[in-house]
Amino acid sequence: MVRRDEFVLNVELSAEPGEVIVLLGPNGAGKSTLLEVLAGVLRPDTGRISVAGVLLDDTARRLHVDKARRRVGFVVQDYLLFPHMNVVENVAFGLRARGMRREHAQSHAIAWLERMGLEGFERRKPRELSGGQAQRVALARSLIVDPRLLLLDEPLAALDAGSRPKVRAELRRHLESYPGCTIVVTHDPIEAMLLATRVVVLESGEIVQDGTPSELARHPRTEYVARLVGLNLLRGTASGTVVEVGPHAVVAVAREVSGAVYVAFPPHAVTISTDRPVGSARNVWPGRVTDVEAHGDLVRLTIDGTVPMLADVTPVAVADLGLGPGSDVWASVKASEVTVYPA
Amino acid sequence: MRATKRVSSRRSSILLWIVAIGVVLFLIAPVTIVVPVSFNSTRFLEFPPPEWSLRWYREFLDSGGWTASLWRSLIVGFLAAAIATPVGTLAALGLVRGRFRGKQLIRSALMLPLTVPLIVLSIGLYAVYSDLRMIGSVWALALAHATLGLPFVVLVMSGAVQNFDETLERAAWTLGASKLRTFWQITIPSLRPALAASALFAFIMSFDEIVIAVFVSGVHGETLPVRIFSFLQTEISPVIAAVSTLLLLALLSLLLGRGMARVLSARRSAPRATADR
Repeated sequence: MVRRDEFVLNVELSAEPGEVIVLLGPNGAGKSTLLEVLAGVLRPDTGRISVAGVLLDDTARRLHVDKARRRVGFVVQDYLLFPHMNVVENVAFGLRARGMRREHAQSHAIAWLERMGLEGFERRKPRELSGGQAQRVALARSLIVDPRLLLLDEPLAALDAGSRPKVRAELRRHLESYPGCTIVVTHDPIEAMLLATRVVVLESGEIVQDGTPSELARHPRTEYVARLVGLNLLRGTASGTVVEVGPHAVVAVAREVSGAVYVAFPPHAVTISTDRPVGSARNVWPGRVTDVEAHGDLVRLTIDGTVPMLADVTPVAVADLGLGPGSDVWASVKASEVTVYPA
Repeated sequence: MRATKRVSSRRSSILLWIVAIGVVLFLIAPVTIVVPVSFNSTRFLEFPPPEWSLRWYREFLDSGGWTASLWRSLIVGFLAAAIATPVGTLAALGLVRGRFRGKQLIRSALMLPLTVPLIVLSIGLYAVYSDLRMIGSVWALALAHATLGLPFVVLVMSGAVQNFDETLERAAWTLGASKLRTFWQITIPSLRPALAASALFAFIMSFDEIVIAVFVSGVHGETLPVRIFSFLQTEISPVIAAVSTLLLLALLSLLLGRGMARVLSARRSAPRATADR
């Protein structure tokens, strides 16, 4: 646990070797702070950190392994290559710091650069590299010392959108061949889905969700995650096939459940009409449009009412119904479109 | 409207040029006299020289007094730079990064040599050094000059330390480097250009300082400026012009050398990312 003024980071997390954990969360959730604590740059106020069977921090026993002796690889957003050293010297730095002779360290470094597909860049200075190349050099520099744990803070944020997919694919390949556990911080859901074997969502210093990427995408547990994966999320109490999500607001679901549950449905499952519909849909709620914006080739409506939600409708529907901010509408969703899972 | 504005702006830019050229001429004028006079063949400071000769350069190089004082100035300058640069750099690191009480006080104290009148400083130093029997010592003078150079070093290095990205040090630590190794291999190399500039400042500061030197250098420890000064009090000879010309040449080559180094290092980094992506 780390306290810093008003902010408290309180996290309990254990990971298996070979796992790629993506830490996802809004700005200020404590993702980077968690990495700094793991890297030993910050000391926890209370708690224990052990990596690969080695205790690195234990406040109860006043134990703190210095950042230089933790063997925790830490690659940050702007990579922090040493600007006055060339690529080989950068990669060999960790080995040199451990007392390895220069020629030896450099031949190791050259082997790592080959592995990273960076032959021919040995004598370049960091400023002569593209973002993707710099990232691979930073990765090689961290991996060459055989870290017990690898930390990546926003590894793709410094890249331009054009080169991101390619670098992301390369990064994924390199992480797959790394035997230890990797923790990646990001706030990009696509990055999380593609890199992670497990996603941990952090909000205001607490873990709010922990699971595989597909679990996360299907069963979000917070508003933040629901927005990221594009779902409307409600929480309520179920009995039978009805979930009470608020005063005078119920959602009908397709299977029988009971107790506290989450209810999720995608915005495109919402049908909008200006008159109360008389179809088969059992979920019909009145509401008022508060915002209208383009969303891909659809139009996304923000609807306020007994059940607030986002609804994606076609531009034709918007025109035919004459929708705009302030329009009173009826929103309906088929029970079969609603996912329900225990809270 | 627009036309008159353009005319007036052209007029003011012409005025600017005239003033600028005037200032430069004023600054260069003494040089244009001194340099020809040094190649004079007569015993007098005659301008233009009636005949050309290198005799005053020979006089300078042959007389033991002149070369000895030149050497002494160089040694004192090097020592002063060698003392002021590391001390000022460490002070800058402490002032920029440290968090402690009285920081502002220490910063002001380090800037004092800029504001204390040199003559006051000289009298004080004279009293202290004569008690310590250090009048005429190269070290004593170097130490005094280092004090004068210190504010410049602290100012230049504070800026450099502020611009230095501390997370680079953090990166080195997490790669397993000790604090000491990180300091020598990451911090110092990044500060190198500022270190060179600071050392040059401190050296030049000492090299042409005369007030303190007059007091502290004693009879046998004359630096070049002191020797020129005392020489001028007894006689006027073109050898002074020769000395001045040599000094001018030395300083110019020092500054040109720095400029060249900068251009070369800029060119080395010019072939940027050719096989990009």
